[in-house]
Amino acid sequence: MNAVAARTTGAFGAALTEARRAWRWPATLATAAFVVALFAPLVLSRIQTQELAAWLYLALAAIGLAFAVGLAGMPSLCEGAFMAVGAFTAAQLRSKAGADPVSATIAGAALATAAGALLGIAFVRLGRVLFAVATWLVAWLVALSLAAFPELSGGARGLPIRAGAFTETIHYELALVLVALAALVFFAIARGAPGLALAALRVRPPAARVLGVPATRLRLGAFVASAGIGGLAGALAVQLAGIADPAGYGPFLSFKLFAAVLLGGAATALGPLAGLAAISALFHIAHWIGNLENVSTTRFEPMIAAALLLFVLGIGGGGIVPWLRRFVPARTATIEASPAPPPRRFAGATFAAAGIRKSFGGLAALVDLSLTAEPGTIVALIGPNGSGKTTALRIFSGTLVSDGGRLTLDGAPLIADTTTERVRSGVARTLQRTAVFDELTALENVLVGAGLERGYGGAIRSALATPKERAETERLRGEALDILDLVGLRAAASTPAAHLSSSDQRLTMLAAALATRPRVLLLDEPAAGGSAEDVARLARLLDALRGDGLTIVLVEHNLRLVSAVAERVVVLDGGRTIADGPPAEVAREPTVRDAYLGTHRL
Amino acid sequence: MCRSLSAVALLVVLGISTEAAHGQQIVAFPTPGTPPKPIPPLVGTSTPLPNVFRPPVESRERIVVGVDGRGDVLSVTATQRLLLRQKADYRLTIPAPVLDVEPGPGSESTPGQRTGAIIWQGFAGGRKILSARARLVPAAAARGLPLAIEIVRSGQATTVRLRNTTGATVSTFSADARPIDVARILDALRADPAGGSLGQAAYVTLRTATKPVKVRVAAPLLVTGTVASNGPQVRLVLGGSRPLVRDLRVAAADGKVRIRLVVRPLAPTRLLRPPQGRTWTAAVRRSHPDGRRLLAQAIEISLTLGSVRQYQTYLGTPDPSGRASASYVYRQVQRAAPAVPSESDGRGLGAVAIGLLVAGAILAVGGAAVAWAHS
Amino acid sequence: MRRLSLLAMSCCCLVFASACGGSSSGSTKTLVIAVNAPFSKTPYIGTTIANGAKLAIDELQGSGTLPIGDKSYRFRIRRYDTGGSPAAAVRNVRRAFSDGAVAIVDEGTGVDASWSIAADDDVPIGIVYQGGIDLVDPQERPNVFRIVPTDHGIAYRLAEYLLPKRLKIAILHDDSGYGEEGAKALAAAFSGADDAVTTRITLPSGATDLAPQLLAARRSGANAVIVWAQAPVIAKALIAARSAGWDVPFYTPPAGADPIVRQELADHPEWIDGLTFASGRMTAEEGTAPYYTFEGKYRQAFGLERVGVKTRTGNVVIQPPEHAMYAYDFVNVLAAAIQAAGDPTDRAKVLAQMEEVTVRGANGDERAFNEKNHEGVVDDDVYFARFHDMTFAPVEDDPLSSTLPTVSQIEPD
Repeated sequence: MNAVAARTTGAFGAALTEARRAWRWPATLATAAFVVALFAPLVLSRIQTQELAAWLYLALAAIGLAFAVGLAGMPSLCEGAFMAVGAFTAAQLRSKAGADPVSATIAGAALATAAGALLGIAFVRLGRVLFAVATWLVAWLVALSLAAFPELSGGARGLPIRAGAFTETIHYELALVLVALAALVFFAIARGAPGLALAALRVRPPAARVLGVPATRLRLGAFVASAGIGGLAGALAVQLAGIADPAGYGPFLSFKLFAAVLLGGAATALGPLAGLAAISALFHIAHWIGNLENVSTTRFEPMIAAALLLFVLGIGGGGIVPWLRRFVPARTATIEASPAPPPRRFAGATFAAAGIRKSFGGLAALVDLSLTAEPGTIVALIGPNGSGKTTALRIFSGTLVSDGGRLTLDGAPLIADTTTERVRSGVARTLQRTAVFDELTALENVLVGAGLERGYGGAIRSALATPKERAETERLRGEALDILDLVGLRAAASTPAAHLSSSDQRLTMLAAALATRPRVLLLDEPAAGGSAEDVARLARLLDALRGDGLTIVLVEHNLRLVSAVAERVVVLDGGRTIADGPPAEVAREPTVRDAYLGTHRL
Repeated sequence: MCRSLSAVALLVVLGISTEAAHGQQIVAFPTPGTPPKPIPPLVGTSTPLPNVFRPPVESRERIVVGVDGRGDVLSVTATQRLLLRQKADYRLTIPAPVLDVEPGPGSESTPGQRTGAIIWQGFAGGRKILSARARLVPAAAARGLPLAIEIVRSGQATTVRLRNTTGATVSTFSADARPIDVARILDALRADPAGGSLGQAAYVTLRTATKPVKVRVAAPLLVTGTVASNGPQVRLVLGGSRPLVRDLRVAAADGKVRIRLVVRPLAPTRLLRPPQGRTWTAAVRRSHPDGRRLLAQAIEISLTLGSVRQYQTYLGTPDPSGRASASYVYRQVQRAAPAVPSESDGRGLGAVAIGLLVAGAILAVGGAAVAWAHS
Repeated sequence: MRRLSLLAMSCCCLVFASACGGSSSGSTKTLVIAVNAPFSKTPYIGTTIANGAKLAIDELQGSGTLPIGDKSYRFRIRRYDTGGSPAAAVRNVRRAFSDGAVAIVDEGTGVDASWSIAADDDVPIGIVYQGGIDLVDPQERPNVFRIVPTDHGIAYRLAEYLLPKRLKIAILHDDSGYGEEGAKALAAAFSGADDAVTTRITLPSGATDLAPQLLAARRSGANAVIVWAQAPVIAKALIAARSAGWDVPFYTPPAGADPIVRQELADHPEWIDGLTFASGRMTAEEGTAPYYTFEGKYRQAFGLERVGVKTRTGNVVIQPPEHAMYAYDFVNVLAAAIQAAGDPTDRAKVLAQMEEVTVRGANGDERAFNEKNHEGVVDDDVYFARFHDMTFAPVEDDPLSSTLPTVSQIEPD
């Protein structure tokens, strides 16, 4: 018991210390604003409190939408539909079954979450455009269903809900607390491992996948979270309003929320609030102008929201909050020197490919490719363009499924089918083209790869910043810095990857792949576009990695690098192996000269 | 000489004529249209708008009176059925001390309720039934009831006293009237006891000056039913030529006292029957009765008819000349027990429950903190 | 400096907060009577309701104030647009309280939810257009009153009028609250006469063409049509039927008299001939004088309500202000209740007095409520009128209607 208490108090103490260290003035401002807002009902009238509470519930739904749009990059246009599911579930339970507000709210949120899960399973693999269309159709479907089934929606009269124990003030305080919590959770997740992984998926899905990021699971999780939060907001808002009106849950609601999120800054915690505030302000101005002329401006609201959205998309940029951040002096992050890490050791594995075949239509891309790479060795795969090298790597990494043949790792069949599972098995790959995560720093790029190792990096732990999650983050951060040090980019750890040179970006990709702790490393043209110095640096790195025991399969056009580092060279031409042996031996093969080397030399 | 005699004769004739003229006067006869008592019909507290309708309007009422074990009135519910026979708009106000009103059986419209009145408003397309069931304020309604019941228990025996309360002392007049005038009035009353055929007023020629008198009248009541659970059927008349009060003894063998009586005002048809002949006019021509006595009898009959008519219109009818009837049903009911306020209505959670909730919350928060610290 | 700024901000906040609520100038307090109606969706309905309420208030207080008890009050009519949305109607009621409303004159949309909000503050709501039977319940909703014929009354009168004619009737209704409530009332009224009703069809309010629905009605064998819908839908239904050569008689609730119907059929005035609608009688048992007096006052205050069409002989058609009567009457009942209570701010007392007072209505009818009945118009008072040459007159084949005068609808020279 004493140990438990001591551990608990110690954990809280450490968390407080860390929070104090990381505390900045925007956090002070936000906290002050929250505290002031808590006391607002003391000075506001009932109707003002009620309207503010309604607005806060909408803001809650907007933050929920930001989980899908901002974190996961999924353009969801059906958040209003989830609000409708939550609202009408709660309304039915309150008005027909006499349920209490809490049960009705929970039921509404739960049903919306379930709906989000079902739709997410169906839509999560769609591309962005199709995803947007699909969710837009869902918004229409829900609106039309409410109109078609008056038993569910109350028809044109709506579903009245008798006021329960929750007064306007209680609703307001509850809404304020929920918005604050949602923003905090968003912030915590965005900065944690799930946020990094989602950011990687958002920016470069193929590159994220090859680092083992579980794309489907993460996207589904974000979508379900947005649905659940939307349902919660809808269930509470309808009880505040006192009536569930089907006309209020049309596609325009989803559109307005989407526009608010984009306008304010989808990837920021407070962006949705800022966007919604801007839209609401414009609506109020329009109403005021309309009142002067005794004209109702309600029907102009969709036009205003659409114009704002076009404006945001047209000028580019991330939205209001990112724009405002420009005026906040950026704090240069100092990477503290970590104590000398233990020597990094990569445990290699024997990678063997036997009889690998792959055709695309009638075209044979690979015919009976076989190679073996031992731990602590580098096997190079060379050949002219279109010879099947990258296809081979894609098959080795699990991105493609071969038509025949066998892959083994240390003699055991490599049965993991997806890229993520292949990475977990210890086979990591870099992409042929430069594919860093531009929004993230070099360190964060590497941490994306390190996410594979996490045992305490889930969304809930990240949101709650548990001691184990923080400790693991710190450990992985140290290891990531170590890897950056290994590839020579320690000094650029805080530099956004977009600002790195092309060769440094490729090294960052390599570092991210190393962070997955591979046993077999598949490199696809790591020297492409590099200067002689870059190539030399790369050669030293590959030597070091080989010395650590890593198994490396290298696809390269740079024959100088190949000859410098590879123990064996496999030459492909038209998908067939035309040579396989030590570099000097392969170089003498006439077929190799004719097909590939030409005047070049290994 | 002849001229002198003619002058004297003329003077004598003139003198006789003058003397005759001086001894006769024509007065209005008290018709049944003037009720002897202020109520019934019951009165309300509002000032109604004038009634709008096209006569005739027939009224039929059934008044259910709930009495307790002592005979005191606990509740009065009056159901009135008005029949409109003409095609016209109507707006009718029936004053009454109304607690609430609802449509009665067969009603073709819904009654309105004002403070102290039942309201009907609409259009009758030729024949329309307006039926209202009104719950009345017992104390105010009881004042208009024709029968009072008193249940007195002494030892083993119980006496149920039935008293006709319709009696009223009316100030009227006495005089020597021309019998034929009185006879015509009596014939008209016999044809139409409501006095409608008399018109607004009937007149009699008096041969002497009037003398004010007070007359006691009451509406005869036919009382039928039972006063005991196993008791015999009761059928008696209170009033008319019979006593106004009647005591009914309830023996032990008759079981418990249980009042189930129907009371109907009874028109004094016997009084209206001429002593001889088919009509009063024929009887007077034959018998030459005393004018004073006949007038007194006619006044008494007319006032009695007025009393009967009064109790035929307990709630009142908009058409004074229209047909009206009422029956009063007396039932013994249980007096409602006073509601005992429950002690713990809506008190909410008790202190123990709140304490448990707080303790549970503290435990939950503590548990969450420990779980967080270990996760 | 920072403290001064904070102090200034606090003062501003307090001043702002204190500005919320009823306004007063000197010893005269201004109280608001809110008119909650779909001004943007059905302007005719909203405007006539607001005008009726304003006329009543202007009559009572003239250009000055209304003395109540030992104080003087100025009443003001304030409009709130529901746009036909129940949620907006509920929001408006809340806003009205914030603006100091002492009563709501309501078209009826959203009352299912707004009544409880109003009841918390003992504020009376007077419904003056929608007749759905369960909108008003003196026991459950003690603060809701109505002065307008109920759907139940209109539906039963329609049944009473049409069933003896032995017609085969197609019942059409739109999907608005008005239409759905009317459909329920018609179902009850025509229950037991199933052989008289050939079909029941829902008309989508948003549809631009109702030809398929009218064709379905025609195919059902109907030789008469009841259309219980908002005015634009009635117009569309009539157009769909007549343009297909289907000349059966059409019967509607009061919405048939809405000017929109005639405006939509202005190009085919013969199509509207014979359209028969049921409505509350404009003149009452008192005779025609009270109604014409009201009509004169209304026109003096707001001018002639031109329908926007002309008769065949070129006369401009004007609309009688019948809907305005109900709002006018409700405000008068309210004023009488406030006077009887002696204090308009004692809402509980005012609400109690709403069940005690009686006033003479615009057409001479008595208007009053009691604890058992919050309906100000009896079901008997529904008559039928038929259009001919863009104007309407009471029908001859109904006992009540045949006794009523024809109110002039031609603009005087």
